[in-house]
Formats: sequence, structure tokens, C-alpha cells
Amino acid sequence: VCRYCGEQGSGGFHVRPLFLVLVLVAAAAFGAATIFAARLYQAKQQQLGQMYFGRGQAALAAGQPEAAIQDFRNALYYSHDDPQYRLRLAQALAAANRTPEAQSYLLSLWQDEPSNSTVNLQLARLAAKQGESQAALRYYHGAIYGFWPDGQATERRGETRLELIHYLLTLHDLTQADAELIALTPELPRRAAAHAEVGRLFLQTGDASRALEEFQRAVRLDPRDASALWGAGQAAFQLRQYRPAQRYLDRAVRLQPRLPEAQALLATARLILALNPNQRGLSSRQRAQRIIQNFQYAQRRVNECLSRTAEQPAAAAASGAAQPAASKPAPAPKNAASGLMAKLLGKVERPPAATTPAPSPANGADLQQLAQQAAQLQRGVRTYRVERDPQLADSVMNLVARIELATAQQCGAPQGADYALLLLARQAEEP
Amino acid sequence: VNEAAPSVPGDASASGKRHKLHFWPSRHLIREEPFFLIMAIFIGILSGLAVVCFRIAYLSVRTWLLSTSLTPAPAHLLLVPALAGIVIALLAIYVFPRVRGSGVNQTKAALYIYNGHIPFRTVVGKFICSALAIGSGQSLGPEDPSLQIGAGIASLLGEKLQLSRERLRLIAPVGAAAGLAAAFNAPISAVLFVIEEVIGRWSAGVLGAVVLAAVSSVVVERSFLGSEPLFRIPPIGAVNPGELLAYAVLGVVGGIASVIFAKMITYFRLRLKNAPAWTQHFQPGVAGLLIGLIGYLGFPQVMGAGYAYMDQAMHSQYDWQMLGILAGLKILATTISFVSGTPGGMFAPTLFIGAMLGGSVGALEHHLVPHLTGPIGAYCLVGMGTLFAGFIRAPMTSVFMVLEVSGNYTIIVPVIISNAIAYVISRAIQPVPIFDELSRQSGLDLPSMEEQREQPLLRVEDAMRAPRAPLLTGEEPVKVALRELEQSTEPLLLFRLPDGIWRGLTRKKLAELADQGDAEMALKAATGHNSLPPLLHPDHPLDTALRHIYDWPLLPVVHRADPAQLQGVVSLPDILTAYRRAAGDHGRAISGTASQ
Repeated sequence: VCRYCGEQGSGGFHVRPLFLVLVLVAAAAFGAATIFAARLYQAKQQQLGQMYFGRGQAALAAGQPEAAIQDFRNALYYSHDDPQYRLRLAQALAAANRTPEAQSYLLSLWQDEPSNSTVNLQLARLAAKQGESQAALRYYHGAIYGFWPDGQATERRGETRLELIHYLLTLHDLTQADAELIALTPELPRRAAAHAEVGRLFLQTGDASRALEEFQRAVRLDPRDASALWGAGQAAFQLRQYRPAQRYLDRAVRLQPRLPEAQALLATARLILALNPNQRGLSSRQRAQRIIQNFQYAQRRVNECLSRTAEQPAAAAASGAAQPAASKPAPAPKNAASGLMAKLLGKVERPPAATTPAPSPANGADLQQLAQQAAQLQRGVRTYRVERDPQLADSVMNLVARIELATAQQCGAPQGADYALLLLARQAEEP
Repeated sequence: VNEAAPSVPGDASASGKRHKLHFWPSRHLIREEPFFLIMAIFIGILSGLAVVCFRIAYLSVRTWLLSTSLTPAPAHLLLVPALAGIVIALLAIYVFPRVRGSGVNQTKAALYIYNGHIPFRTVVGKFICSALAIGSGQSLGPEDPSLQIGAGIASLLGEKLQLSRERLRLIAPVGAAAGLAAAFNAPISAVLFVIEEVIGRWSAGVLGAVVLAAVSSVVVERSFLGSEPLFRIPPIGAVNPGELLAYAVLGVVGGIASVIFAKMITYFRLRLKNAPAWTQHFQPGVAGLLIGLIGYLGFPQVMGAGYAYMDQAMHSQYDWQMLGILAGLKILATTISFVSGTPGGMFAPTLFIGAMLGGSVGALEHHLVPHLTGPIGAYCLVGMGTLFAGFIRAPMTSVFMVLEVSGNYTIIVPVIISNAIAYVISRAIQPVPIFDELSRQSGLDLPSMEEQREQPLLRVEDAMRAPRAPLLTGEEPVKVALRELEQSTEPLLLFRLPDGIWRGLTRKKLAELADQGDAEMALKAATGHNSLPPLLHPDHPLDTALRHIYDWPLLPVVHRADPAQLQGVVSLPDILTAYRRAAGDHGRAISGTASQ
């Protein structure tokens, strides 16, 4: 029975359409009022959030990370999901050395947006700070290949890759650093400083040829960039391209006279060019004269080395030192340039022995033998004979090379002409 | 409401008729069931709007009264909660007298006592007083009031549309689900909570309406306030099986903390209820002062709902000592706020305590066992579910709530383990759940869903026995059957036909056949439709047997795979004995727990 109309079997009741309309109108009015209130509220929330965010930014810029943290937290209270607020809070926490806390926020941001480059970069820095190199590399790559929100993707990507390369160099991972540098070069801006910087990094990874290319680009962009010229000189020197090295170093020194290392390297390059008998454009006489001169240097070097090695066991025996002579340090470099060159050349060839090994009986015998050969050869080495006898010229230069290599091993890094001859000897050794 | 009208759906369906809605003056008929579902959507929309307004209200109150900053000025900390408490007390005493409490029990009372009626004045009062309380820093949450607001809106609408009593009763839980879903931004948890804790049963009609209301309210809420989960948690990787032990420890700690929290609330609430009436004017004010003092002493985190601080805890912003202190102080502050009669919910404080406790246990475990890999945020999250399971005692809801509010599903195994342990510990120490205890303190005898769940279900196998009379075949004559039956105490003789079907004849029927001269007739010839008893299976609920026992004094219990195989029989005395035995066991179990 209908409770209102009494109809049998309906089990229903009246609902006046007017009432339903009224309910709908009331609901619509409620909805409109809620929209209005929500807009007001959201505007206020946004305003407060931005106010605290601005304060936090200012505090962070002023080097007050703790105050910034408080402000960013307040900002987050008004917009708990704003990624910008959370990122800044993480940065402030990182600046306050609260690494795990910063990492926690960054990880939640990363979870939301794994391709966000800014977040990846921050995480990479924190991981690097904590010595987690694998994670750091992963996040650096995430930053490089991710999305930069501010529209400066190329520049930021390059900067990040540069940061990664520096990090790889601190890890001594030269191969990976070189690979990253190769990837970086096409993205470099047309600025001499940028190419020079990359050139220097190539030098650090031991890739002198690419370093030279980058320095040359830098020099083309700014021919008066002494730094780039100096780098190009170094790279060319490492590649044993002594003529261009001399040219670059000469220009660098002229532009920037206060470059003692460049001056030293320039002097060595000049010496090499002056001693090299295979220099193009030499007459046969000039060539012969150079060979004889080199022979004289080598003979003097081997004799000096022999006398020094003879002194060492006697001195050791006299002092009664238990320490074996093999561990005695090599003579200190006489100037900064020799140290630099040792460092420089160490990139491409065996570094000169850091210590002067004690002449073993066999080594001593070798030196003795070399000295005897030199003495035997000395009588027949005359300019006209060397000029006419190519075989003699070769055997003389061969002996010079063997002497310089052996004495470098036995008596430490040479100086001046002997050093130049050692480099020429090593060049000749290369296939 | 016309009491004479058929209002129980079962009655209507039994008569083959359905409730219909008359549109006057056209008298166009609309079925009530689909209309109820449409109404559920409408309720969801209205509840969603109301919850959005409620949220705006309590957050704006906080901004206006306390501070725009997370760290309010000391004077504000001391004065605002206390003064707001006095205002709330006056409103609760003179304007909205039924506004006290969280809102869950009021909704249950509407369902079970007041035929779905929730006074709209109470809804308005709940909105105003709860917004003032939470906004001024009382340690209470907005979820339970939202639940009651939703239920109140639904109740108002149902009454105005003059729905049937059964629908009116159900409409309050539908609104409650909508309110809770919007407050938590978690429709599944809201549906589960209402089913698990308010309605207590699953039925297609109710579930459909509850789900529709919850979903529509969440859609409204999200369109206004965004669809992001309540918390952002750092990524949680796959959980190492060994680390589950660490979460089990959290379950134990969480279970104990839940009991402490529940015991404190029930003990002090009873004390304050029994205090002189005039003290009610000051109880919320004093509570506000004490909570403000906690904030003044350096722990403003315990004030209000505390979601911002839960987020901080999940991001490892506190060490384990601080997290432990915050958990303890929040238990204290929430107890103070709630027992003072200040309207507001306990869901958010429970989550806060759980998050802090979980973080504290997790950080301490990390400190002691450095190779643990789970982030602190994971422990906070699991801790939230743990406290919810132990304190609110809604185990299913606790699991889904954690997943929903965080949007993270990788943590499910630790959540289940920890929640289960906390739930078991809480039940073992405190048999009566907190909401049931609170309703009993208020003098309401509301049904306990947990007790209903735990009620042992008696099955036919608990009452069945072997037949006392020999089992005959259909070939036997009536006189043999009558003789066998007379020699036994069974009220009915069962016999099997060649096709394996069991039939039965009562003593009276057999005697009638013998008197009519059919004593030599085979039993199979004497059978008709009246001799086919309903077949039971051992796993049937015993209630099923009761339904047939009036017509059939002895019921055969047969094998499900082979109906010809008789497994036993049940009679009324057997059923009653089984019920009596179960009642005795249950009573002993209850008295045993109570004596502990």
C-alpha cells in the first residue's frame, strides 16, 4: 500500500517534482558557494606558499640554510605537493649538510619524475658527497639525458656533463671521462674558453690528439687566448709535434710572459728541434754535425752516470745503511719545468723512474758496455764520415738512443739536451 | 513514516513487488532501487562539497587564529587553543548538544537506533565545532567529523525524500562512506571501513550505493583539492625477507601502543564523564591550554591533525628519539583533547602516532642493525597502518588505507604482517574495541562488528550424528519399516531408492499406510512428493537445518560429491544441543578473557 496515495501493491510514495527541483537548485547553489570558497582559499594558500618560498629563496641565497629550511617547510604546508618547493627544501637541507634528509625529499621527487634533470643532478651531488660513486654516476647520467625544465637544456646538459667529467677524474676513471668528453664536444658553445677547458680535460685523460683539436678550435675563435695557446702547445708536444708545439708555445709566451712552465716547455721543444738530425730541410752536413753533437752529449751522459753509479755502492757501504740503494730517491728536479714535463710526458709514455735504481751488476755492465762502445766509436766519428756513411750515422744515433734510455733508467730523469735526446730516442722507439 | 507500509525489502520481494516512487501529479513510477543508487551519487557529490568546505574551514581557522607558519608565536600557542576550547564548550552545551565525540558511533547509532536519523543541527554543529577545534590546535582529526557530516547530509536527504525505513537506515552509512572517502581522498578505504565497522555485512545493494557515493565524493574532492595522495614517500624497493622481522617488531610495539592509547582514552573519558556537570564548561578549554603548553614547550607538531609533520617524518626529518617523543606526546595530547569532549576525530591522530612510532622503531632498528635497507618513510607508513589496525581495530581498512594514502603498493607485505601482529596483540589485551567501549560508556548498546565477526559459525557437521534406526532400501515393505521405526527413537525413517535418492516417512505416515492395508507394499511404492526431505551437507550453516526442521523432524546429511552416501542426520534436539554447547563455550571464552 502506498503510504501516501493508498494505492495497493505499489509500496511507493510521493515525491513532488518541485521538491526535487528545489533540492537540485540547493545543491547547485552549494556547489557554486564551494567553488567560490575554494578559489578564495586556494588563492590565499598560493599567496602564503609563495611568500614563504620567496623568503626561503632569499635565506638560501644569503647562506642561511636553516632559516630557508623553515620557510620552505612553511611553503610546503600550503602546497605539500609542489615539486619546486620540495626541491628547494632538499637543496636547503643539503646546504645545511643534512644529507639523508635532503636525499629523502629528492628521492620522492625522483620517484614522481625520474627524468627530472635537476633532481637527478642534486641526487648525484649528494651521492658523490657520500662516496656512492655508482649511484652518483647513475644520477649524473639521469641528469644529462633527462629533462631540464627551464628551457636551457643544451647549456645545462653540457654543464652537468662537465661536472660529471670532473667527478670521473677525481675517481681516476680516465676512460669514462674521455668518453664523456667526446660526447660533450659537439654540444660545446662557440666560446674559446669552453673549448680550452675541454682541451685541458682531454689532456688530463691523456687524449692529446683531441685536446689539440679543442685547443685549436679555441685558438681559431680567439687567437689571443694565451691559455688556449699554452694548452695547444702542451698537446702538440705530447703528440711529438714539436714544430707546432714550438709555434703555439712561442705565441703563448709572447702573449703571457709570466708562464714559466710554457717557457720551459718551449725551450725543450726548441732544443729537440735543434738536436733532431732527421729534421726536414737539413743538409747532409748539418745532419752529420747534429749526429756528432748528439753523440757527444750521450757519451758525456753515460760517463757521468757510470761515475755516479760507482759512487753509490761505496757511499752506501760507508754509511752502513741497511737500506738498499734501490730505494734511494732520485735527485729532485732542478726546476719546475722539468717536473711539469715529467708530468706532461707521463701521459703518453713511460714516466721517468721516480727513483734511481741501484745499478745491478747486469745494468752496470750494460752501461759499461755502452760506454765502451761509445769510446770505440768516438775515434771513427767524424763529420765527413758520418755525412758519407748512412750506416754509421744510424749506428751512432742508435747508440745515442740506447745510452739515453739506459741512463734515464739508471740515473734518473735527464736535463737539457739529454732530456731532448731521450724524447727523440723514445720517438724513434715508437712504431 | 507510515509504519503499516511494507518497508523491508525481503517482504516486498517475497510478495513479488518492489518499492516504487510516484511522481505526482503524473504518477509516473520509478523503482526505488535504481533511484537509491542515483541518490547515492548525489549524496556523494554533496558530501564531497561539504568535506571540501570543512577542510577549507579548519585550515582557514588555523591560519587566522594560530599562525600562517608551522611554528606559531608562543602567546598564540598558549591562548588560542584554550580560548577556542571555551567557545567550543559553550557551543556544545547550549547550541549543539549532540556534537561531542568523533562521529563514528553517532553514525552507527543512526543506523541501529534512530532509523537513519541524524539531526541536521548536529551536522552543522559538528562542522563548526570540529573546524574550530582542529584549527585552533586541538589534537584531533577531520576524518571522523567528515564521516558524520556525510552521514548527516545523506540522512537529511533521505528523510526529505521520504524513503522507506530500510533505505533510510542504510543511507547514513552511504553518506558516511562518502564523507570519509573525501576526507581521506581514499575511496576504497572508506568503503571498507563503512562495511567493516558500521554496516558489518556485505550485500550487493548496499555495496553498490556505498561505492558510488564514495567514488563520486572523491571525484568532487579531487576536482577542488587535487588528486595527489596525502603523503609523498621516498621510493621503497623490494623488501628483503629478513627485514620483515624488523616490521614484525614494529607490529608488536604498535600493538602495545594501541592498547595504551585506547586504555588512556577509555579510562580518562569515564572519569571526566563522571565529573560534575559544571566542569564541562571548562574541559575543552583546559584541554586546549594543556595542548598549547605542549606546543609552547617545543612540540607544536602534536597540535592539529599533523599531516605536514607526518610528511616530514616520512622524509627522515627527525631522529628516532624525537619521533618517539612525538608519538608519546601525541597519545597524551589526543587523549586530553578527546576525553574533554571536544568534537573531532581520532583517525588523523592515530595515523600521526603510527607514523612517528613506526619511524622511531625503524630508525632505531637502522641504528642497531645498519644493513637494513628499508627507508624510514617505509616504517612510518607501516606504522600508520599498524596503529590503525591496533587502535581502530579495522584490519582490512588499515591495509588498504596505507596503500591508498601513499599510492605505494610495494609495502603491502610488511603492512600485512605488522598490522596483523598489532591487531592480535590489541585484541588479546583489550577484547572490546575502542569505538564499542566508547559507545557503551555513552550508554548505547551498539552492535560490535568485531564481536559479530568473531561469533563462531555453527555448521551442520557440529550437530549431525549417526542415524539410530537402520537404513532401509525402497524394496522393503512398509510393515518392516514400521517395526524398525517402533524399535528406535527416531521420528522419521530414511530409506534409499535404487537411484540413490533419500526419502523419508514419518511414524504417523507409516502407521496410516499399515492401517489402510498397505503393510506389504514396498516403500518405494508408498512414496510421493511428501517423502522427499531436503538434503543437507556437513558445511551448511546450522541455520539452514533450522529452516526445515519444522517440516522434517529428521534431516539427512549427505556427501556433496555423492548424494547417495549418507553422512549423518540432524534433528531438532541435536541442533539445540549444538547451539547450547556453542553458547557455553563462547560464554566461557568471554568470561575467561574478562577475568584476565
